Parts: sequence; C-alpha cells; structure tokens
Amino acid sequence: MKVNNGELVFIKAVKDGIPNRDPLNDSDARRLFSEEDGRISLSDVSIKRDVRDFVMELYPEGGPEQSKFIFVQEKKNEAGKLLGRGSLAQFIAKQTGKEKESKTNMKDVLLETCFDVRTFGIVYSVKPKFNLTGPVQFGWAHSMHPVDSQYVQGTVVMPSADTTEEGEGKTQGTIWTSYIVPFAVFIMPGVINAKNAEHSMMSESDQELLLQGLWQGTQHRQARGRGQQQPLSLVHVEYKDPFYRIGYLEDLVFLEPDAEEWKATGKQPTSVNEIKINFERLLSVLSNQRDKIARCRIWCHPSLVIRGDISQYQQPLW
Amino acid sequence: MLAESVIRIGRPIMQSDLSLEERIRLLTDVSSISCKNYFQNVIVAELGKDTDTVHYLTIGMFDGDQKSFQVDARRNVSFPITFPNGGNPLVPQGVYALPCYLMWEPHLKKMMNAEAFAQEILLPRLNSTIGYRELMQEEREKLALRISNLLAENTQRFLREEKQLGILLVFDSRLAVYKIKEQLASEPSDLWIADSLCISDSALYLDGEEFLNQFITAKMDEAASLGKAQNAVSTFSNQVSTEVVSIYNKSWLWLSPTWEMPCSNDWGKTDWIKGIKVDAENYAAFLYGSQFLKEIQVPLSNSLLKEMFAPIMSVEAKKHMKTTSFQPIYGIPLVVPLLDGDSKQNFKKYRHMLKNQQHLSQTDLHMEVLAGMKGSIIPQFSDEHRLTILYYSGDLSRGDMHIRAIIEDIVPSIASKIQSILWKIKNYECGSIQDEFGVQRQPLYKTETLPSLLANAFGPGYVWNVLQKVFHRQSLEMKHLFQATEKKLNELVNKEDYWGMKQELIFFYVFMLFYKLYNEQIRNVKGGVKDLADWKKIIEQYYSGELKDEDFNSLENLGFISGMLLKQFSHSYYMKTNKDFVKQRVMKFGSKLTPVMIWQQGVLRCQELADQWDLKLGVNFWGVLPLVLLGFLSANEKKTLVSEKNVFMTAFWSGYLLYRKPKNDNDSDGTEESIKGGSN
Repeated sequence: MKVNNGELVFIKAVKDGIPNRDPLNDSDARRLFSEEDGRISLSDVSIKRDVRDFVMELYPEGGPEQSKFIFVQEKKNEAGKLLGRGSLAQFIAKQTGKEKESKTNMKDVLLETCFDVRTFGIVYSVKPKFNLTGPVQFGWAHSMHPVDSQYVQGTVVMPSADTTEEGEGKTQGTIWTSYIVPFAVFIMPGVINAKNAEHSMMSESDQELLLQGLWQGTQHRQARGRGQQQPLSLVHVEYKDPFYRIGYLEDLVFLEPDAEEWKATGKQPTSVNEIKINFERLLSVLSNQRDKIARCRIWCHPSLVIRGDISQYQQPLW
Repeated sequence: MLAESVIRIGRPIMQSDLSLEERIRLLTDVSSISCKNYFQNVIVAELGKDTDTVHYLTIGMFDGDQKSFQVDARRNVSFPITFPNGGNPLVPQGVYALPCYLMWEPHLKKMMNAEAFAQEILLPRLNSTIGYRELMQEEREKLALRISNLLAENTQRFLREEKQLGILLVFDSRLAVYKIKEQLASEPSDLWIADSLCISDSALYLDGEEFLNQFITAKMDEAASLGKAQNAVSTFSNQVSTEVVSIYNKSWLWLSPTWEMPCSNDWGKTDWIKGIKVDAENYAAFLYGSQFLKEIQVPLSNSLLKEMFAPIMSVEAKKHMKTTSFQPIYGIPLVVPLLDGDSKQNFKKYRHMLKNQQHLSQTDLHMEVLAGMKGSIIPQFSDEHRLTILYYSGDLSRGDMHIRAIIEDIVPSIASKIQSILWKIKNYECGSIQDEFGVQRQPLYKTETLPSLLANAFGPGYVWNVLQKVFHRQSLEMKHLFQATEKKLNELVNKEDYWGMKQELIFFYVFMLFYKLYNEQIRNVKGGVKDLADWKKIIEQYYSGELKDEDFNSLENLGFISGMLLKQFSHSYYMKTNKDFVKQRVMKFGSKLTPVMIWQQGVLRCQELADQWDLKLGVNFWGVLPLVLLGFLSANEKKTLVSEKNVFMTAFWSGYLLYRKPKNDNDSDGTEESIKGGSN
C-alpha cells in the first residue's frame, strides 16, 4: 500500500534535563522566542536522531529484508575514526551484498536499504552526488508554555586523573555544571508528502516504523543531560488527496492551564499530572474535514488527561 | 546581503586617495604582527643580464634587548607578502602577484640542495606567479634551477643553525612590476628595494601601481578557481561584464571552499559562480572591504564573555564560572550608507575607524560601550547611514564559522543616544546609587557596556535578542530582571551576605535607571518603573510618618515599605533579644522568604512582640504598621502576593537594606552598627 499525504502532531514531555543543548554555548536552553514569550525549542534534527537511533537498535542487521539500515549514523572504523558519508554508504552496500551495484548506482542501493534515506531524504555529497527530498519533514518542537531553565552544579567523587606513586595527581573530584529544565511539554508538527514518498519509495511499513520510532525512540533516548523524555501524544492524519492538507494542526491543540494562568499563579507545571491537553478544536476540524481524511489515528500516554473525545481515533500503544 | 555591504564599504576605500604604501599595507600582510620575523632574513635574488647576485637584507632592527624585532615600516611595503590563511603553509597557496615568497625553516634549509629546492619549492611557486604563467614549462624549470643554484652558492651568507624565517624575492627585470633606475631617480609609485649589485649606480624598484593591478588580478584568479564565466551579468553591478568570478577570497574565508553548505549539491567545485557572480571592479571593492573588516574585527574579551554567558540566576554559579570556559566571539561593526553618496566622506570615516583611538571624542560611537568590542571606534555618521554589528565565533582560517548574531539597521543617532545614557550612568549615577546603599564607590564592570548590562538583566539565552531590541527601540519586558534579582537575593540572604545583596540591588537600580532613560529618551515613553530617586521620596515620608493610604496602592510600594518597617523593628528587637528578627522569626531555618511569610510571620506579629518585649519603637512605626497591614489584606484579595512575588521581594529587600536609623531619633531601637550584618 502506498503512503498517503499526511500530517503529524507529536507531543512529548521532558523532566530534569534539556533535550537539545545549544552546541555552541552549552549554556541555556535554545531560545528562539523573545524573553516575554519565554518558550524553548527543540530542533527537528534531534527528533530525527531519536527515530534513527531507535531503528538502529531495533534492526541492527537491517531488518528481515535488509531494508531498514540507517545511513546517517556515527560509526567508527578500526582506527577509531568516524566514517565519512562515502565509507558509510560503502559499509551498508557491503552489508547487503550490493557492492557491485553501488559502484554504478549508489542512489538506488541506499534507497533500497536505508529507512532514513527513504523517509527523511538524503544529501549525498560524494561523487557522483545526488540529493532527494524526504517525504517526512518535521518542524521545530516548541514548548507549550514558558520555561525557566535552572543552573545546577554538583561534584564527581572521582578525580579526573589518578594519583601517581610520588603522590602527584588530582586529589579532588571535579565539579560538573549543567542547565536543566524541571519540566516542559513540547509540541512538534510534521508532514508526510505522498508524492515525495513515491519518489523515495517510502513504504507503508516505513511509515509505521516512523510512528513507532517517534514514540519508542523518544522513550529509548537515555542520557543524563537530556533528562527523562516521555512521549505524551501522537496524532497522524492521512488524506485521500495527495495534494491536500489541513495544515498547522499543532495550532489546534492547547495546553491547560494555558500560559497566562501559569503566570497568574507564579508557577510553572512540574509534572504531567498538572496539565491537560485540549484536543476539542482539532477534533472539530477533523470532523468538518471528514470527506478529505482517509484515516486518523491518535496515540496517548495513559497518564495524560485529554479534553475531547478521541475514542474513535485512539490506538493501542506499542 | 553581507557581501553587498562589504563591497559598499570597500568601494570608497578603493576609490580614495589612499597612498600606494597604505594600499599595499591594507591589502597584503606586510604589517601583520605574525609576519614580522620573516623580515629578519630577506633574500633578494637579482637576476642580471650577465651575472646574478644575491642580496641579504634585514628590513628592520632589534630592540636594545635583542628580543623584539621591529620591522622597518617604510621599507616593508617593497616586499608585499601574503600570509596563508589556513591550510599547509609549506606548500604554495593561491596565486602570487610577483615572485616574493614567505620562506619557512625547511625551505631555507633546503636552499643548500639546489636541485631539490628548485623542484620542490621554487618551481610550484613560479608556476602560480602571475608574471611567469605565460612562460613555457621548460623555461620556468630553467629559471627555477638558475635561482636555486644562485642561492645554493650563497647560503653561507644567510643560513644559520638556529631556526630562521625569511622572505625570498626574485628580482627579474623582465617582469612589469620591477624597475631598474638610477639611484634617487624614483617616482612616487616606485618603491625602493635595494641598490643593484649587478649594475653600478642603479637601484631596484617595485612599481607600486603595477603591483596593485597584478595583485587584484591574482586575487581574481584565485576567485576564478571556484568558478568564472564570460559575458555574464554581475550580481552587484547588474550589468554584463566580460568576465565574472565567484566571490571566494582566500585571505578572508567567510566563504571557504571547504564549506559546502551554501552550495547546491549539484554544483561542482568550480560552479560557485552559479550562486554569486562578481565583476572585476566590484571584486576589487570586495577585496578592499574584506581586508578592512579583517582589520577592524575585535575579539570580545573573556571577562565580557563571562558577563554575557554566565548564569545570572545564581551568584555562586557565576562566581565559579571561569573566564576561559567560553568560546571566543569576534565582533565587526559595519557602517553602510543608505545611498552611495559622498565616497570621499565615507572614506574619511573608514580611515578614522582604522586608526583606533587616536582621536577619542564624545561624538564618536565607542563600540566597546555599545557592543563590547574593545578599542573599536566608529566616527560620527549621519542618519543616512546604517550600522550593522556582526558577531561570530569559530576559526575563520579553517572555514569553521558560526554567525552568532547580525544586528542590522541600527540608526547611528539612536546608538549615540544609548551611548550617552550608558556614560551618564557610569560617570554619575552609578556612584550615587552605591552611596545610597552605603557601599564604597567603585567601577561596576557589568554595567559599563551594553551587552553585559543586558545579559546580566535578561540571561544568556536572550543576549542577542535583547541587544537587537534595544538597538531597534523596542519595548523590554522586566519580568526576567525581577525574577533573577529575587532569586539571587534569596540565595544571598540565606548566607547572610548583606554586602552581596547590596551589590545585586545596585545592579538592579542601575538597570532600572537605564530602562527609565531608555524609555524616556529613545522610545518617548514616560513612567512605568521606579528608580532609586523615586524611592527617596517614600523613604523621607516614612521617616517623617507622612505615608498615606495611596502610597500603598502598588505591590512594589507595599514591599518596599514593609522592608523598611521590618528593618526598623529588627533594630529594636535585636537590642532586646540579641537576635535577628527576620532570620529567627520570619525566615525560620533558612527557607525561601515569600511575601506571605513576611506578612504573616513578620508584620502581623510586630504588635504582639513589641508588647511582649516592651520594645521602644519610633512614633513613625506605629503610623505605618496599620497601613502596611491593610495593604497586605488588599494585596491578598487581589492575589498579587503570589503572582507578583518577584516584584514584591525585590522591593522588600531594597527597603530593608536602604533603611537608616534617623540621626535625631532618640528612641532606643538600636544603632545601625550594632546590628549583625546590617552594615557590612
């Protein structure tokens, strides 16, 4: 079955960490909005990374048909050096026994074997160069409420170097410093372009793996600085028309209490128990656009309180 | 587009009456500090008609201690060298306008072996030199060997055992850039190299005019290595030019060939021309402009980076942050005319910018104050210009560039007004605010430049955002400042660091004053915030017992007055009990103090404790107490005690720390000095 034109809304929460640090500063959370707005943001790249890492863990050998390899990955050679794009492609071609074919047509080899190439697209800058726009494009994920990041310090009991026999060396542990966000809820939009999916040969099974990857990949991400991440809700709307889209679905979903209410009480949410997600407006739009919609599915974490009846769309979790 | 701005800056410099020497100095690296030691060993291979000779020169002299070499600034322009920007310096890089090459230690040592020097070092350089590119390959090989043999014969004159750096200039009279003339018969464009050793009573000269032409040609050739086209429309002149090239400039790697990001994936290495096409004239202006920007770019100091990017919510965290833990950031100020008008006038200003701090004047824009760029001055410009401030980090020489912020369209007169406000604060107001808090007057670094002032108020996440807002006259939200100040005050009071609290409040009131003046003078908005001068009136009224109901209409006032009230009460309480009232009775176990705690555990209990301990409190106290209690009731009804707690607490600690026992007060409520921590 081919992939329909579709839209995604993904809501996730993070506790005690900053899920996407600023690589230039490593100081404060990424601030795309002004200080009176106060929201923080995550790049689409970090979310794609979660999906890719999950698929790599799930199918280390490329899956039953050897079609779920991941092209964009951090892989080192025996000397401990990171593999470049060309070497990574060669590595995958070798794994799938397509070395000969790869010499004349690397594009087809990567499209056949790599999930992320078919799903997110590729810029292959090794000669002969090619590029392909991916059918799945995520937007930035923005927090649904103003967030204050906190600066924390701690100590590591282990010194960074051993003490030598002469007694030289570090005698004290090192101090670590970090910014954390106590709690934040992020919402991210995404689109699936049916025509691009045809060009990239993205299959329905790729689409299902993407949705699973968004959910389980987020849960799978474990790194102290990034905090505890939890997917809360995922909405996938598929359209009958390959050129139709409602658009900006993320603006139809609201957090309760809203930012103004939090400001009035001088607090910020600290856990999922303190918030609700209001889907009423989205559900009403979906109902109005019923004729255009092929299928709508919604996944929700059991601890999330929802406003609006999503029962007809609700799916069991992975 | 940045490139267009660079060209518009470069054009007046290119068209100016800048002397030949100054042009060479600007375009090449003869005056670069990293090149000075090369001038210690200058080898000129003079190729004559019959005989060849070698000159060994030292262009400059050592200081008395023999440690520091000073290049002769009059003569160095005769040896126009370019220092490689990245890559391996030992291999030839780019296109040479004339045979004048930098020599490193391995190059000089190899001169002993003529054949190897000719093949490995000299020939590749001659191949990339403008004047020799017309020659046949065999001719160049012959020439390389001829020069190498000559050098090998003379190595004993200049080679030493210790490490040496040098310059090799091949004086070949066939090249258009050189002239042989009678001694002292030079014209203004002739730059003396040395007296000829082959022809008596003659001297060797570099034709400066011709050199500049060849230099531009050489740089155009470098740019053409990433693409060129014939009879195409230039992106900048919008006219058809016989030849256009890419905008690549090897000495200023903002567009590095190793950085493929801005290029289409379909382009080859030499297809950059598909993006931007530059004609010869605009390319020359680009070259002047980019060299000029290279000259005026300034790294932001480490201490400023700490002020800009250290955490602001915690005093302790900021204190422990090292100044070296921040990535270097560079700043470049660009002044671009709105219309290409008086080129001469623009040039004068740019020239003034190059001569940093020679004539400091109040009307100049001091980029250190406005943008944190030390020693960078922009002379007064009319509002027919716009200022752009560019911040970047990374290593340009490796094409590793991250633009942090581009703040465009700054009106010079607005920047000037902001500068005046900052000066007024630094020179007059800051000291008087310190006086009010009883702290010794001293410079307050974090309030002296705009980036550090804003960063300390809004936090590292908003540095660029707020800087942009201020330069564009937009409104500022004060929420963050109150929030940060309250947090820091709470941290400090738990440690009983009253001096630290005063420092935080001094910064707070300096910022309040900046905010007030910024609103009044730049945004034409009056009122809205209270600076320290406004509180003085309230303090007077408090002492004299003249406070009225309407003085409690804002939560900020209520906080300030209750701060004064509790301090006055504390004095009397301390005299009787030898204990700190706020610490023992209100805060309890070092908790986080809130407006509700101040109300319920502090102000509400004053009457009861005063009776219990028979405290002697001033008459004014008993006049204010009921008004404060009513104020709390009203605020509690409006629920502002919670929602505006940051504002309340900041005002509370201000009142608490600004309270002074009036000198003529004879009540026995203790003395300032006797209160623990009260005046430290």
